[in-house]
Amino acid sequence: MILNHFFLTIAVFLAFSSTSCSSVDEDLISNKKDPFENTNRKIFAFNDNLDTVILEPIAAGYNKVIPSHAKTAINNHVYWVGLPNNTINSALQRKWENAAISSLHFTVNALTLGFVNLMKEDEPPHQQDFGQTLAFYGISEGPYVVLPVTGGKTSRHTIAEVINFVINPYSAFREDKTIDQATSFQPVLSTISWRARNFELVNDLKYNSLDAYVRARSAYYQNRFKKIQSDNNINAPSEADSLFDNLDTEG
Amino acid sequence: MDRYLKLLIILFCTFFFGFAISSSTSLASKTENASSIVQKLIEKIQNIQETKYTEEEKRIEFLQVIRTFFDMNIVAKASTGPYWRTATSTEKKRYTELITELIADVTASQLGDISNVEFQLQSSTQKGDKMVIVSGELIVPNQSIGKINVNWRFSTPGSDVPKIIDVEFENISMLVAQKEENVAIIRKNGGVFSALITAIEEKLRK
Repeated sequence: MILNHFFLTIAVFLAFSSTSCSSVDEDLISNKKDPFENTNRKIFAFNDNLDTVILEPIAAGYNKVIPSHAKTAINNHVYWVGLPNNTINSALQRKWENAAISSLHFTVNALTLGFVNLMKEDEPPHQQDFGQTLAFYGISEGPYVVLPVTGGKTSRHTIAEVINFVINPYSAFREDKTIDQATSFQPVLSTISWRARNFELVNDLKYNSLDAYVRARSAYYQNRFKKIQSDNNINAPSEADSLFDNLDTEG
Repeated sequence: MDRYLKLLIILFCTFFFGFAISSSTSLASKTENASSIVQKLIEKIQNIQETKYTEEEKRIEFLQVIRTFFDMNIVAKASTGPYWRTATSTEKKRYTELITELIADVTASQLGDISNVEFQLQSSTQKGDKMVIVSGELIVPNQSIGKINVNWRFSTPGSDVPKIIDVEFENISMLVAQKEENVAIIRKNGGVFSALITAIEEKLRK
């Protein structure tokens, strides 16, 4: 656990220290939200290579070897592990009902350590992270930063990830060696399971796009925008809506 | 005078309700049309996937599908943003051909050997005067992703057949992503539109 904190801190420090000294000429950046594009691209290329060499083959093997019901069980467990954070963030955003549903799902599924979803029939809670909490309190999203290993996010979301990690409820069990080892393995398990679940989507982004960096950034922003808008019941037009609203169909 | 007033009221009512009914029927037919086009598109894709084509034959089939179901003029224009105006007519024509080929290639590569793709319609709604959004779930059997939420954005100008102008997978608009990529390439090359054409040609050659 301490090791995880250490690596995350180093990653955040590396990213921020390198980005702070290499913002690029405004004409050369492709998006105003991304003033550190030059450095971000270098870290993205590093992450891309890391994915090609390590994560992609592991995810391919995982998809091939692990039977589908076992994969579902692992996905359920990864989801269950995130529920305490979900409860805390729902409460911080005064979404009391979601906080209650989230803690109920956590408590009931604790009987199977989350591997079997005993509340399949009930509607699952909406996922809330600390980035959404900061957005709820009006903290601006800040520039886009790409971190080694964890990928590209807004600075608000990046800081939120660190806080999410630090306030991880499982840290209360740090004294217990077995739980400590199990929780240390969590980020690895959730990364592999996420990559395997999104195998085709990520490979499409990597191999079919003209500029994988820009496509990844666009996908992140669109997805994040939708998440924050729908959670806060804001009905602002999406980028696609604006694109077509402003499109002159003549000529 | 009374008779004239009555006649005037009857005429007004006939016109008003007639207009209201015809416009709501036209809205309903636009949304129904769009959702039936999605089903036709899925059937067409299933046919292609089930037939034993060579890679080149499959590519040609997908190219035909894109030309039939998509409004490539709008797609080409929207995906280049402000730089569309700076392109010559030859460049516009070439780019439209290339982006059509790129979409066909990407679709063929994404689908690979997947067959039995199903689309479960959830809603079809009018957006403004000229657009319809068809939403639903794409069921992809035997794939890690399983189900994907999809929105098909149609342009519905006048009496013409609705055509697809954008596809959103899990709320990510493919057209917005493509536009951002294109604009980045053009900007990196000092605003030269032909740089984008060269980049797509290179991509298609790979």
